[in-house]
Amino acid sequence: MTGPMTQESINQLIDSVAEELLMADPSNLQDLGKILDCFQKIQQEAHEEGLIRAADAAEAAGSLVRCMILDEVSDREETFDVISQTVSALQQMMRPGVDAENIFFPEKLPLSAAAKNKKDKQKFILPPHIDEEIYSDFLAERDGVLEQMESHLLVLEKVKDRETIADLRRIFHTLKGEAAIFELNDVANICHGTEDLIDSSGEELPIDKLLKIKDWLKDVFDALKNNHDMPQLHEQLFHETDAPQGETASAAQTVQHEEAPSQPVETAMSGDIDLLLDFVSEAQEHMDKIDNELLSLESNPEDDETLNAVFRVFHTLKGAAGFLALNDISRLAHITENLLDLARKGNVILSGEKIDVVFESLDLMKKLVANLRQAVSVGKTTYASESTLEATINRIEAITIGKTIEPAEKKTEHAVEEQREQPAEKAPDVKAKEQELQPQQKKAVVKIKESVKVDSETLDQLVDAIGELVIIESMIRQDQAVISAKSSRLNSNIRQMDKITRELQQLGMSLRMIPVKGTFQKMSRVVRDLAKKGDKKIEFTVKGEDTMLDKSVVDKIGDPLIHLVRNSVDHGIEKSTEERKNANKSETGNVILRAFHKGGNIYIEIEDDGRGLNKDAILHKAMEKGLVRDGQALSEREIFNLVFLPGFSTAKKVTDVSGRGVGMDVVRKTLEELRGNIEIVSEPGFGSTFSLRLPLTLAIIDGMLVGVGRERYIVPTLSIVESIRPSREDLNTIANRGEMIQIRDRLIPLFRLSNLFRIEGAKDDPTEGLIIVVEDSGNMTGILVDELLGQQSTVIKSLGDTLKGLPGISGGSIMSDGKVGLILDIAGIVKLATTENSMTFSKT
Amino acid sequence: MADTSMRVLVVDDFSTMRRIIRNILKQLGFESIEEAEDGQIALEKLLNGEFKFVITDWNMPNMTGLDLLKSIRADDSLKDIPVLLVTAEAEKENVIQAAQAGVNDYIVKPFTAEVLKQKIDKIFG
Repeated sequence: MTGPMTQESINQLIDSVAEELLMADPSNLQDLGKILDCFQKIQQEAHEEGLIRAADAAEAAGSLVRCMILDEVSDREETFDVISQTVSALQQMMRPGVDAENIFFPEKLPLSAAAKNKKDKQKFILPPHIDEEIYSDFLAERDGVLEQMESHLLVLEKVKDRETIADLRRIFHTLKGEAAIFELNDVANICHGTEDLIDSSGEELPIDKLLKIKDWLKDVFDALKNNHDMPQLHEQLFHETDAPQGETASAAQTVQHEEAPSQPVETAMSGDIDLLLDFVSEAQEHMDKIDNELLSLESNPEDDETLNAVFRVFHTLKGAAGFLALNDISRLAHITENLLDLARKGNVILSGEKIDVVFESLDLMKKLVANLRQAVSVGKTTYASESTLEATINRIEAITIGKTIEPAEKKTEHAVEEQREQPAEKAPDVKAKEQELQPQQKKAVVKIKESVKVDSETLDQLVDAIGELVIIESMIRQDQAVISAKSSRLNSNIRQMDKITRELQQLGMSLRMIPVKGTFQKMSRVVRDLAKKGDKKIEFTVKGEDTMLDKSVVDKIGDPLIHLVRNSVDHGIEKSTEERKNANKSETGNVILRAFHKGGNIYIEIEDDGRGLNKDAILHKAMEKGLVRDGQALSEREIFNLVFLPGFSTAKKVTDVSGRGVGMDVVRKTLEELRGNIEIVSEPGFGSTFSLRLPLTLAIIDGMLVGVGRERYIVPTLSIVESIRPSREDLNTIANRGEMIQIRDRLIPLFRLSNLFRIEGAKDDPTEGLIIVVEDSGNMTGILVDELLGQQSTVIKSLGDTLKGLPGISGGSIMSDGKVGLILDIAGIVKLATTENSMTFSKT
Repeated sequence: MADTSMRVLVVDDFSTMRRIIRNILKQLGFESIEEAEDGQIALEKLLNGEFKFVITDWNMPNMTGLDLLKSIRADDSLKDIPVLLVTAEAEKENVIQAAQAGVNDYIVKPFTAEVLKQKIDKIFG
């Protein structure tokens, strides 16, 4: 028992704080700091001694001192008086023989707040930098999370399953991070403690306790949703883990903000071009530096020093930009800083999309600073913002709280030039600053909509059903009985039904559409990595990243894109800056990745300004590998296409970066599976462009219905170049290459569907039939059919496993008469025609 | 008003920030302004020169503003030099820590010359 000793030391502390108070200047921070120190010690010792009232009073007095330090009190003198009176009361209380209960503390001492902080209710106030919508969204999702928590716990009560435990822990971990963002400190603390509890319990989880915690969390979130006071935190809830440390927030809330936030410098900076230029060059220098640090964070996301270095750059950028009234930069830096701060504190781990957005923010920041430099260098008073700013800020905000939002509202457009001049005061302006100080939520452009999670299978079924509806609708519309019906009401109803069906079809398609952004973002990292490894300077630009594509397409193009981007960086861009300089190019190589819409297709292009493809080398190699015969005359396009052949690789040696994973042949194969194709345009010395064409959706295909004998087939419209009826002199049979047809100055293989599918009764003479010229990856082939039957959109049906992989057929479809039509696999047919025609189908 | 001829040390790792603060100080009539880019360099300069006032950032590499402050207060020859902390509005905990470590005042960025003048007047008043 240290009783008397400790009591004595408490008395001494109280005396010393009384002394300090006498000497102190209520506006002197040093004095206040010392006083706060004393109160904290008194609180601690009184608490240890079981003198709860004294401890509470010391805590409350301390919280007042904190408010004074933070300049959050309206009347310093008065607050100071309250503190002094408290100390007197404390002195009395500690006298021997005095009944502590008879001592009264000043009314204005936020005693109850101090006490409540520990265990009682408090009203939660949303931190000012958090968007209310994000907050309400966060709350809306809590029920699901808590339900999951509960169901995990119930499972664990019966079966000890490591995975479920890990998942449960993850739920608490995530919740902790999210709660920390909203400064729901009690929740964050409880979650933190629960994580520890789970860790220390091994497989024997205290289920009851965890359920109680879950119930408490439920109460908290229910209260927050209904804007009630926060529920009490039961102390027994959490004995062995750290009880949440009450913030002095509620004490702070009892006093008011007195001073408005300071305003930016009004005069000193105006028109100070030098200063702006300084800012630009320093900002660029710092940003270049953290590029590497971000990269190393990728592999080691919890390296404190690096995290802090990155944080510091954004933090400093924010501060300096604030002075210079560069609002865009300041805001972007601020929001990124928030995320980094959480990472620094260990609340989130910077991986996956979290590091992606930091990269993205850095990129955007670079653009903004570059725009600023440009503007300043020509003495302009405005500098260009970036159209992606709001979206990026919103995304970072969303990711900061642990969710991804798709900028669904963004209209996709092939933005040729994304920059847009936006008036932004360069000269600092009080008014501009005031606007900036307004809550930022008003500026939010991308709203987080209520959303329902649907598993993609259900979605597919829905899209499928819509497809069926489209077909049945067109069957009804084309039904003879309907066409001959005289009722004008029926006709107008049918028209209406047609319209609605079309809308439904559009909607169904759009459900599966997601932006390519996520995939594109990964590429930035690939480029960074490669550039660093290959010691190359590369500027990577991404355009049209909001372009929407069918989800399954987006999922599948990732690997091919990585390969192509690697290819551009590794082989496209010159090995050394000297090589570039000698070629009269900038030291920094450029790689551009863009996506855009054109004619019902989506194009993704990877362009570099490097060496370009070497035709001779490709040809030489292809011959070496026996892919081309000697003396075979090939067009430039055909030569480029050789690189897609299996077994072809232009790299002299397989490097770490390019030789891995998918090869060019796999790239093309993937694209063909997606019913797209790839083409290369390349100019030696000026660079290459790989252009990927992809269908908007995989569910529906625009097709041309053709008849061969009694069979009907669907040819995807996007592969069709033209259809012609050949004359006799256009037809040739060439030794070793089979039947060929002359179309203007080109000689292309002629392919008979009737041969492949062994169709009886098909027209044998090409001059009587029709030749559909199709193209795949730059190779053209003529397909001989009997007749064209019409054009229609059809819903693609899988043929099932047994019929999968039939040569020449990619799928089936229900046609408007209810019968099944087969969809031709053009890529497959072209391949058959160009490689096997000579052997199998030649009729020499 | 403080003596504008006194030597002032501005500590910040970001040179633009140093320059901004320097400009404001000049505007207020201060002539003898030196800069340091982190706490360590600042401490060396302080030990070698007759500085009367330190304006420092919080988060810096090598030595933070708080450590600089503590080192100043722990050194007999420096302990009486007034220190003004430059901070961002969200860093309340830092302010409390700084107050307990003996900072003279803090200022939230961005700030005006007027606000800085008030703070300096208060410190030297």
